[in-house]
Amino acid sequence: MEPTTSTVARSWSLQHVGIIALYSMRFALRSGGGLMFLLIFLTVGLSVASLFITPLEELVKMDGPDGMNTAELSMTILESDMVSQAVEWITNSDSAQSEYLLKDNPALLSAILLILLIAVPFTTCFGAFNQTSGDIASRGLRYLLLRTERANIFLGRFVGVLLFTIVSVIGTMLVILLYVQFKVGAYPGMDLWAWGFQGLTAVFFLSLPYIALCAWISCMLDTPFGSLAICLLISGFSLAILYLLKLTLITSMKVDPESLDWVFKTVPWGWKYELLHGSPVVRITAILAMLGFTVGFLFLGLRHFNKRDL
Amino acid sequence: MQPAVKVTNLTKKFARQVALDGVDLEIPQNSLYGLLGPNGAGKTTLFSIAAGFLKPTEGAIEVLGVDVSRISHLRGKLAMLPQDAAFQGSIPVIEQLIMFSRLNGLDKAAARSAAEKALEMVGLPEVARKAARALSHGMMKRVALCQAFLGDAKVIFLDEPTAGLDPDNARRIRALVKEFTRDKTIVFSSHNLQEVQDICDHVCVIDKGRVVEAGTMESLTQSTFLVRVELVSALSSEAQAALQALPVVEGIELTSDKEFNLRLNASGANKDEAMKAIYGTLAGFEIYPRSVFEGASLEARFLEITGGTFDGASST
Repeated sequence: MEPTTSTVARSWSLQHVGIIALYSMRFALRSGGGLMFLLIFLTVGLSVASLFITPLEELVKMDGPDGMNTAELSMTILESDMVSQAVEWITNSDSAQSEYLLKDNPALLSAILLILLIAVPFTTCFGAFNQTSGDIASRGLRYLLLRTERANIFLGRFVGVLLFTIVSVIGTMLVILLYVQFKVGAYPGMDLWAWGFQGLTAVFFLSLPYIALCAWISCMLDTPFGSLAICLLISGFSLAILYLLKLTLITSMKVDPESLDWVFKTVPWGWKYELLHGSPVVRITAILAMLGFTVGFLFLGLRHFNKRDL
Repeated sequence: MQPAVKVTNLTKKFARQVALDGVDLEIPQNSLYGLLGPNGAGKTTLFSIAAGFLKPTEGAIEVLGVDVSRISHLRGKLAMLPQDAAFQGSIPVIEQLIMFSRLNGLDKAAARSAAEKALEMVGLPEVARKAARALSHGMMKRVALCQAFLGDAKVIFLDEPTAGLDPDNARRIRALVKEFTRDKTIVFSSHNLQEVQDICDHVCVIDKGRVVEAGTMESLTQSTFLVRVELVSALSSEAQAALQALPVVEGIELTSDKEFNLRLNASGANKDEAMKAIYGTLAGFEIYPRSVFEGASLEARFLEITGGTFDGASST
C-alpha cells in the first residue's frame, strides 16, 4: 500500500514562518555559513567590478598625467561601437537596448551588472543549498516538527535565506556603487544610484527562483554537501544541456537560430537581461517569469517536504 | 475517559522491512507508560510517527483525540524527547529553547523566562549561553529533556531518555520524569527493565513490530516469576517431580542437566514463602544450588515473551 500522503496546501502560520525565518538568519550568521555566503557574494561582485575598473586604471597610468582620467577613458571605451556590438551579442538584443545600457545609463555599471547577472545563480547556491538538508541529517528538524507544520518550516527557511540574500545583494551593490562613484567618478550620483537600484532589483529577482530551487533540492537530500553539488549541477548543467540542444537544432536540423530564442526562456537564467531592459513591459514580464519559476519550485519542494519521512 | 494516545492498526514499512505491523494500543491519561522491546522492535518508529516525523504506511495515531497528522491542533499539548535529534551545534542552547518556546505561542519575554525555567528544572542554568556542541552527552540529554517540558504539554514521549548516561545522570532524569507525572501522560521507552518497573504504572512489550503484551505493571509482574537455578550436580527426576508438585510452581524447564528455570505463580507478597519452599525441597534431596537467579518479574516476563537474553539484543 502507498504511504499516506498529505495535501500540498497545508495550514500555515505567518507568525511561525516569521519566527523560523528570523532565527534561521540569526543562526546562519552565528554558525558561519551565512558569513561565508556574504563573503562569497562580495568577492564575486568586487571581482567582476575590478574586471572593468582595474584595466581602466592601468590604462590611465600608462597614458600618464597628460592623458585621459579614468572617467573619460571609461566613457570613451564603453560607449564605443565595438562595445555596443558586444553588448548586443551578449544580451541577444538590438541597438536600442545596447544604447539604453551604455548611453542612457552608466555604461561601466551596466557592464558590471551584465557579468554579475551571469554569476548570480551559482553564487546564490552557496547561500541557499542548506536550507533543510543539514537539519534533516542531524534530525534537528524534529524539535521544530513538534511545534509547527512542515509548511511553516519549509517556507520559514526559504524566507530566511531570501532575507539574507537581500542583505548580501544590497551590501555588495553598495560597495560596488561606492567603488564606481569614488574611484571612477564618471557619472552623476543620482544616475549612478538610480541605475544601481535597478541593477539590485534585477540581481534580487534573478536570485529568487534559484533560492526556491535550492529549497526543493535541499529538502530532497540528507547531506548538505550533496545538496550544494546538485544545486550547482542543476544550475549549470541545465544551461549546458540547453546550449547543446540549441546547437544541435541549428547545425543538424538547420533551424533558424533566431527562432530558438525561447529555448533559454525555459530556465530563469534565460531571463536575466530582460530584468535590465529599457521597456517596462519587458521588465515586468521578466519579473513575473521569475516569480512563476519561484512559485513552481516552491510548490514542488513543499509537496516533497510534506510527504517525506524526517 | 478518552485515552491519551490511541494507536489503530499502525503499520510502517521501510522498503521491504516492516518496522510496525498492525499495532493497536491505548495509553490511559495521566499514566506513566513504559514501552519495552529489544533493539529494532519498533519503539522509536512508533514514537516518530506519533510525533509526525514519519508517515505511517497504514493506520493512525490519535493524541488526545486528534490525529497526529494535524500537528498544529496539538501545538503545546504534545512534546517529545527524540532519540537521536541534535541541537544546532554552534548556537547557544538558550536561544534554541527560546525559539521553541516562541513556536509554542509565547512572546519574546515569556519565551526567555520559560527557557530559563526549563534549564533550571533540569539543573543546568549555567549552560544557557554555551553552544550545544560544548556540552557533554549527559548535559545534552538533560537539555533535550528540558525542551520536552517547555510549555504545558499533556502528553510527553520520551525515547530512551537514559540511554548512554552514567548512573547519576540516569537517576536525575528518572527523578525528573517522576516529578512531572502528576497531570501528564508520559510514554517512556527504555531497555532498562528495572527502571521501567520502578517508575511506570503501565507497560507494553513490543517485539518485531507487534504488541506482544500490554497492561498495568501490576498485572504483568504478578502473573509470573522466574527463578533460574544452577546446581553442582545433575537434578534427579525425583527432585524435579517434587519441585513440579509445589503449589507455587507453574512449570519447570530444564536448560541442561545442572540448570533449570522455575516459573512460579507468586506475587510479591508470598515470593519469600515460595523461595523457602523451593530451597526446602532441594535441601530434602541434599541438592544445594551453585547459584540462584531470582529474575525480576518484568524481566522474566520480557524474556518469556521475546525469547531473548536480556542485554538489549536485537529483535530477530
